[in-house]
Amino acid sequence: MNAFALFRAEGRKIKSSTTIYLVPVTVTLLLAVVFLAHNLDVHRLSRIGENPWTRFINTTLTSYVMMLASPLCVLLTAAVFHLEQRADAWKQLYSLPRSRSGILLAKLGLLIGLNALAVVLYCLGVWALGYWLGSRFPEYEMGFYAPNLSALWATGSKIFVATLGLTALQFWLHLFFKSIIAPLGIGFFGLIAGFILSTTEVSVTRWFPYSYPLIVHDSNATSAVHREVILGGFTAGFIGSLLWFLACVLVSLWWEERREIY
Amino acid sequence: MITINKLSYSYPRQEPTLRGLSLHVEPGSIYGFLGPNGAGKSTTIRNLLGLLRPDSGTIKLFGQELRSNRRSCLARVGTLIEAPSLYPNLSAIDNLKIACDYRQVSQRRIPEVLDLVGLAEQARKSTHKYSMGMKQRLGLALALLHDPELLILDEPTNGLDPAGISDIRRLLLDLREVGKTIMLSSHLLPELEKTVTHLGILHQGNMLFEGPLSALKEAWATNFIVEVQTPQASLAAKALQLSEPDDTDVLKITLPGREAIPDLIRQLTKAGIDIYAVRPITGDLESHFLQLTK
Repeated sequence: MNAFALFRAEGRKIKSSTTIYLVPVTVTLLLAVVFLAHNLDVHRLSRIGENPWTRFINTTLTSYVMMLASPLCVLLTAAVFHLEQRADAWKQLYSLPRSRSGILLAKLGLLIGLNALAVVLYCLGVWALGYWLGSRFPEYEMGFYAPNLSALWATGSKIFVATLGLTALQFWLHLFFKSIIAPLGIGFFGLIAGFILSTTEVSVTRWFPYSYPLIVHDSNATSAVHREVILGGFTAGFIGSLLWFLACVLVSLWWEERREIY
Repeated sequence: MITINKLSYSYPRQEPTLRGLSLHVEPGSIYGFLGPNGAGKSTTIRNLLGLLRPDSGTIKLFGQELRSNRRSCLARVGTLIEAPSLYPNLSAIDNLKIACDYRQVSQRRIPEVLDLVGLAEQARKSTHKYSMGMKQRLGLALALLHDPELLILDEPTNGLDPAGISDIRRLLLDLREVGKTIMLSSHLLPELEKTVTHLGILHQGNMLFEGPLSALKEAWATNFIVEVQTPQASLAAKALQLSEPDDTDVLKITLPGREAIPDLIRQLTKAGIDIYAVRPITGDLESHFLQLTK
């Protein structure tokens, strides 16, 4: 009850703010781009004897990983913290009869929830878009095959877990700097570095929180590191992200518990 | 209700802001915490709310050590620290709902506190459209939401117009009537003088005076100085058997109290002295306060 009330308070704060529109707007925009690409048959969906859904799901999830997953984490964290900064709310929040850790974990829960919502909305959008494409372009033959929904949800979950480390790192950066610009700048610098790393064969890619979400799913992966992450199990896939997540959450809580509010 | 004993606090790489401060707030009182800007009022309040960790000294709220009973103590306190923390994208009601969630208070309290601070009609308006005074009132509503026993208000009349200040003053007096204890910080003595029962005067991290307002008035009344403006200052000094004044048309006279002014005027008039003006110069609390914190 107590934890739920804290979480509900965090939920109320995003009402009528840009944060609440960020997920549906970015997901819809990306789906529109994906739809446009398939309209132009960029990915050549129709191949004899092959389920077009497999290629469709693979290419659309690659678009999500490449274009939205990581930047959305950086933007969502900044948007959620911006609400607190603008209200100058830390002094009020920390003089409540609540533990600082409880307040922070509720905020982190909201961020994770918004990230999960983005993945779920995108997966649902991909599924609906597939049927729409099939009806618009019968030559794709999507109506003759069943969509591989279990693969869609499994990859969606993998992408979600891959972003946890990055989300927690951005979360700590916002607490450390208590501003918006610095963590946002570091976040976007990290995204660029992550993108460059993801095009290489170096194994650090899988441990760097900004590059890991980029390699967790790639329909055209050629790098050995990518293939190992994509095809590998839990240890090869998620351990880096989860370790970053755990470390950043613990450091955030420790940092805030001892911080003085001037 | 609040007991602070030998509290010291320094901000990093700065001179100490609080130097062994001791303070005591009686239950049911309105305690005015007075001091010029930078005296350490906000630092004391932040220590009281657990936002800062003191270098030394103890803080007790409701007889309990704050450090080891932070949550149970703060559950009984309502606070307004400088400007209220409001989410500008939300209405007053939504801001109060967030506070209800945090404090686990029924939302039925919301209309009551909005009525109390006179914001019921603007409750659905987004708070970024609020004036400074309305924000301050909403800050008070947030502080009163869980019906606290103790209110700690840091400069609650900041940004309010005279009517708003008067409303807040009346509200504080009403709250005292129903048994609330209020600690109120300000750098304006005339503001506090009309509301408080007790006063603590802070200057450079030290408590210069603490006690009932009446005790302060008595203490200061013993040195009541008036300035008499007259073209015959020397004659007037002679008539009153005082030493020759420095100024030719102003005479400074120490009286036992304000009540001695009519007698003084009668005495000077009888001696044929023309009086242009008689002004108390250190007799009111504000000038005493200014002298004390100079």
